[in-house]
Amino acid sequence: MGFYLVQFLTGLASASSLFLTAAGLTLVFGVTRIVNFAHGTFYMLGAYFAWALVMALGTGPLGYWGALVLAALAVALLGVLVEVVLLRRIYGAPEIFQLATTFGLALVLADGVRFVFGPADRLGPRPPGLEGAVVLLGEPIPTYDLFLVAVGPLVLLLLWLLSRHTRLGILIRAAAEDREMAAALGVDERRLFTAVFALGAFLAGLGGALQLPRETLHLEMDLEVIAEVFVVTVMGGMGSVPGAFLAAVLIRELEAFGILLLPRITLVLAFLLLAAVLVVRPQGLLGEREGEVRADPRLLRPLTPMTAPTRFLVLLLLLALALLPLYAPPYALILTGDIAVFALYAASLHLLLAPAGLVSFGHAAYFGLGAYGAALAVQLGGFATLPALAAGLLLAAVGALLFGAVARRLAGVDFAMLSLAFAAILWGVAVQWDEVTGGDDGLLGIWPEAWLSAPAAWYGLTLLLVVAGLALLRLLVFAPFGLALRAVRDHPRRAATLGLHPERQRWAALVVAGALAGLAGALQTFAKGSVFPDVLAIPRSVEGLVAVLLGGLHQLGGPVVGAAAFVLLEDWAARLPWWRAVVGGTVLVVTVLMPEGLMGTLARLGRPLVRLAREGRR
Amino acid sequence: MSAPLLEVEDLTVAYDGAVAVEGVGFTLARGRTLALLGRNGAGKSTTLRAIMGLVPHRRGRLRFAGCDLTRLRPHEIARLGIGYVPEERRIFRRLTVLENLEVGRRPAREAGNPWTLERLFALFPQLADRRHHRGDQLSGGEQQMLAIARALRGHPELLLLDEPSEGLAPAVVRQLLKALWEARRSGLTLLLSEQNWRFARQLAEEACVLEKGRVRFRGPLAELEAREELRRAWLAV
Repeated sequence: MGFYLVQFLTGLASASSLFLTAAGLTLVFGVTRIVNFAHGTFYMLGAYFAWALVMALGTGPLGYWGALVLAALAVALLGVLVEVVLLRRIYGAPEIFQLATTFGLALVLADGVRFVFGPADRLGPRPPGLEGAVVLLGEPIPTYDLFLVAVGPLVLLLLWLLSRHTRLGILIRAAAEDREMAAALGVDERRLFTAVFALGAFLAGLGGALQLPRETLHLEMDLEVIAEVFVVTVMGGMGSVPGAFLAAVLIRELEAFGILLLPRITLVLAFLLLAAVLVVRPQGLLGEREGEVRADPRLLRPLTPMTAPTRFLVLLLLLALALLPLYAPPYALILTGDIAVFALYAASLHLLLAPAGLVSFGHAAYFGLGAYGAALAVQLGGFATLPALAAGLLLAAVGALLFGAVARRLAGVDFAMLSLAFAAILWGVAVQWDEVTGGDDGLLGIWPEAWLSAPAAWYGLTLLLVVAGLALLRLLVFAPFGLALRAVRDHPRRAATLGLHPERQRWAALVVAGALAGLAGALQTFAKGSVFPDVLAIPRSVEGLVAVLLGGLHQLGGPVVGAAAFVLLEDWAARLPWWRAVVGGTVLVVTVLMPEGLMGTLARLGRPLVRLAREGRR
Repeated sequence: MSAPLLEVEDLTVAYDGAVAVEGVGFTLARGRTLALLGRNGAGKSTTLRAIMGLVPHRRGRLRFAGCDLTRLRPHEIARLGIGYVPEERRIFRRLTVLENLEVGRRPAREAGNPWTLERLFALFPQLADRRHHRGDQLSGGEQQMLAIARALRGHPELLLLDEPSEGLAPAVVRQLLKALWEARRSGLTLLLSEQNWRFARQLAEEACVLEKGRVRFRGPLAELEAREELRRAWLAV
């Protein structure tokens, strides 16, 4: 009995910090409609700041507790800086840009933490006054955990009082509902947004600082917590603070007891719970039902077929690529092969982003399923290379089918966050299930068969499959399938009255995109001879997104150009110690300063030239 | 006569290249009421939204109490003393009546009679009874009263009303008229957009008729009253 009680209380204790962090995210989202990817970084910063301040102020009661609060305030201050300098520029942008911008910020800040605190793990000291343990029904539980059990509900109460009984709270709720109307009544949006963002950052910072005595500080804390926070906010209902509390408690209790029964799949349990909640209440536990979610009108630009000169250039490029083994050094073959694989991955994501209007933040799920599928087909099934590639593709397609079963009813931000959570859970499985996946050590020695093992042969196969995949995507976009997909994106209800089935249409697109991403993953496994969990990790998902944005969202060629630019940038930056900051900084520049991407910017710069040429001819 | 409270000159607004309002101009003196008349899509709402700074205008000059509105953001325009009652009321549905009024509250001006809660509840007694109800529990008429009361809570000198009578029962419309007369007696200037001629003629002294974004008639409402053929051409439903 005592054991279960302690297990229950431990669950509540670890729910507190998760709730604080999720409450910050959901509050900021409610008012600004921005899903702040860097929110996990604020959490990590809170923990690191707290550690540094405790070291500086000493471990006396005043120093310790003062350090925790000061750390959260410092994070809030940083939040103000971020909001004023960066976010103000992107409030009007489509959400895909907002997500990418805040991800770029997360990368830059993460390298900042690495630069200041170094890569070593840090362990915080015990809190003065709460060092020991209390015995409950014969079982010991840390006193600090009991303190945390009280913190969650206390913060919930304070936030409730703030929102109901202060002018700030009322303005926050009014702006969350109708920003424009609030402004027309004299509410200064900018100051309100800054205040809310500071509050959100404070809560994340406090959430991180409170974990100091419980958790070893490390540099991946940001990504670990953000996936969980996304699950909590979606489950609780976007914008709902009490919902976030309920969801955090549910998930932590599920973990606390799930670990007794099924120690390996606690993450999967959380996802299944979320799936069950969304089937019953798509708006989350305590979320308010929103109207019909449509894609951002600015993403709805028509895609145009290639002009004759472009087609000629593309053929020329393909010819040059096909003949590459005749004149290029081996390293160029490998790099070009990498670009081709990444281009297929990015193009499959583009099908979701632009024609389907689904912002996927977890496309690595399918890439990784393909990569592991191929590797396991070889290692467990003894498959030959080509069937193994097919197995990878198939596993990814099945993954997309399953995810689609849960996510097809969602659109917009909910879809984005859920897709990220799905990929994060697969990543967790790959890390935890080491009998099959090899855990962090990965699966090694998976090379193509003899007839494909020469670099030129593998390059040829890669090029062939990638070009076939890209051609298929292109055909689909202009086929009735693609037209129906865009109709469903632009106006689901109207498309439904024409006999289209929005959910099924999206679902089908998800499966196609998943299958092709899986093919890209499978190709990569053989190209590298190995597979590690990072093929499923959040950065891989975001790299695809960045490649698409970098190339340009409004051209079908965008993802290919973007993939090439991104692989080359990474190839160069990987030699630098601060590659994350370089890549993140590039993302910031692209999303904030050139939202049209490389292709769009080129097209815009090229337009006067085309006009001149035409006038000259006349 | 002193300088007008509101001057609109050569106002031109376009949405994605489609011109919604072109070259619209009128002036409104303190304490007067002007009705912007015209059919659906004539540009009435766009004109009001442009004054509030909610849509950018491509050309034109907007002045309020001697202040240039061109570069101001909506909340700054509201704080100068312009209240806005939008189309479809747009009350905060998840906030209570009192909370809705709190969002509109601004510090009182030195001059004049501030719109205290008591005064607003005297104007709209139904709201007093429902002060703790959420916005989405109110009837259409109550929502319209709340939208007006919320705008008055900022003690405006000028009130912009976008089709206040739309979709309301005749008894509620009469009550709104009474309240607006009363508000005007205390010196409020009104600019309302209306399709409903019978509502407009009971409130306004001046009229400005829009058709396809352009001004077709500007002058005393009485003149429009006398010339039925003008009303038939531009306002007939």
